[in-house]
Amino acid sequence: MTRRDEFAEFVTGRSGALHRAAYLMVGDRALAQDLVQEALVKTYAAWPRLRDKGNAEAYCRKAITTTAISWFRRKSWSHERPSESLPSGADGGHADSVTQSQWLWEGLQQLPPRQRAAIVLRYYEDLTEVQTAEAMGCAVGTVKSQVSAGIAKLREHLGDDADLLPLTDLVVNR
Amino acid sequence: MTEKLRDLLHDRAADVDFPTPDLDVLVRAGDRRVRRRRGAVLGGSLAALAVAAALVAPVLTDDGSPDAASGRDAVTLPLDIVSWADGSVLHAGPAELDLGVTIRAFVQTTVGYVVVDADGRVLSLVDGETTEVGSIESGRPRLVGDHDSALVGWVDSSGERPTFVVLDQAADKVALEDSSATEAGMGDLADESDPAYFYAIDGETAYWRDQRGAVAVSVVTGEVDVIDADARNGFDLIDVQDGVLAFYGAQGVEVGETRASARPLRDVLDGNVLESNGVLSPLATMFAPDSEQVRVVGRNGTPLAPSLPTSYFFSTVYEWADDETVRVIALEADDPSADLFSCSILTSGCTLLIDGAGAEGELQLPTGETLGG
Repeated sequence: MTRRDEFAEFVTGRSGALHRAAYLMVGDRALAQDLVQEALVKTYAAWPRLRDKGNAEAYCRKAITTTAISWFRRKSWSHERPSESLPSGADGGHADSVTQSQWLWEGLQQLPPRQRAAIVLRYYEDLTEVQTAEAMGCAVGTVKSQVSAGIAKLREHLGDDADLLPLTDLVVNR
Repeated sequence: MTEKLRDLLHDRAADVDFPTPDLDVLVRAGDRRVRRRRGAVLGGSLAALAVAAALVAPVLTDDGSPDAASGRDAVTLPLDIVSWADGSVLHAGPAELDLGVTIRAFVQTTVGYVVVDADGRVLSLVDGETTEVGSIESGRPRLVGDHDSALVGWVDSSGERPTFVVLDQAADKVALEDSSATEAGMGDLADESDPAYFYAIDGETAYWRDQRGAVAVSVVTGEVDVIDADARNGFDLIDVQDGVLAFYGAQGVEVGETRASARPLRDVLDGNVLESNGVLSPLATMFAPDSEQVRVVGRNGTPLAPSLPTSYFFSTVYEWADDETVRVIALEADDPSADLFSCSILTSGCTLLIDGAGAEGELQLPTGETLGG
């Protein structure tokens, strides 16, 4: 099987899942496509160096995550600027007009990119903290703090519905 | 309680469809990326540099010697100084030399410069004389040199089978030619399978890959030592300095005196590769991986990265000036022209050497390979 054939098999089998994870990280379909395309190009370029082709998805996921964070930092293409504190939210009649899920989604999109990436990798990809650290190119302690800070902001954002989110990850173990 | 968040993420992800990416587009872009090395995304024009001497090209004669009848002045470029090429002009600090041919790649040695031109001619520049000393057929030429050596190596593919060539610039002669373990049809690119690939030169030892794997060859005695019989391509050995080898292995960059004793550099990369290239410091006490933000690490993994202004979105080390100083290429988001810095590992401070250094396809640095592919 040639390098191109191996890569074609990988793209066909995994690009859908990679796109979905990228979409959750950036919240925009077109940007997710750009992000995955960039990551796949990097993966193809690195293909001869992947001693175990089973590592291709982990490599590509890392490229997606680090590129997403990097793009945010360089180009600030987020239309919703990350903020230190999110506008408080789900109180009173607000739940009448906006569904709980929509409110949570909006809160997620307003998190800083590293917190959002950490949450997507932990709660969507179901990666361990070690795997998440590897994908983000950071220490495990950083993952813990990023997830904790992100969850705390989402809980603050949800107001009365905060108990819908996990408490365990609010404990930071550096 | 985590289920709400998990459900939300899975529901949102399931709501969008994505077409399968165009494989041809990915492969073409990936192939271009493979050809890029260290800061290949360069553009812009060369900013004015105070030029102490504007000099002209010595013209090559049929036998490769400078044409004295041309009446042009011979020029000796200074050594041990920042150097770069822009089109046909080779710059060394404040001096410059127009070779009259496009420079595709070059290296600096202890006695001069070795250049590959657009026609694949290998030119040796010593004491103001330019001599044609060989050829590289490849569309992507590669020269390997060493900061403290007069030796330069390359693969000559013009014959029936690839030949490893080592030039001794100090002695003004080819010191070694070896095709004993190559065969017709072998490639010469890092990512090809079973390539004839020149890894590095360290002191008087040349390191290359042939059918025996990765070998160390004494340029003086011709003695051969197979250092990694499993080496598959041009990525397996990254650099060699002061007898210390940087391999690319299952755990990323692995450094040691032998393949068996090499140990992974902490925090440089994981086994999946992001940065599989880089340069060892002259005494092999530090390693600077290719990266998008300048990075230097000690052998024990200690981060030692210099500080550049935050306006630079891309920066990477392309050579070591000495064991405590790196030279860095850096790009600003709104300025297509690359800048060259000198950075001290001891103080983490950086000094701008060249403000703007050539357009993509024109600018070359002394890495021995063509920037921009």
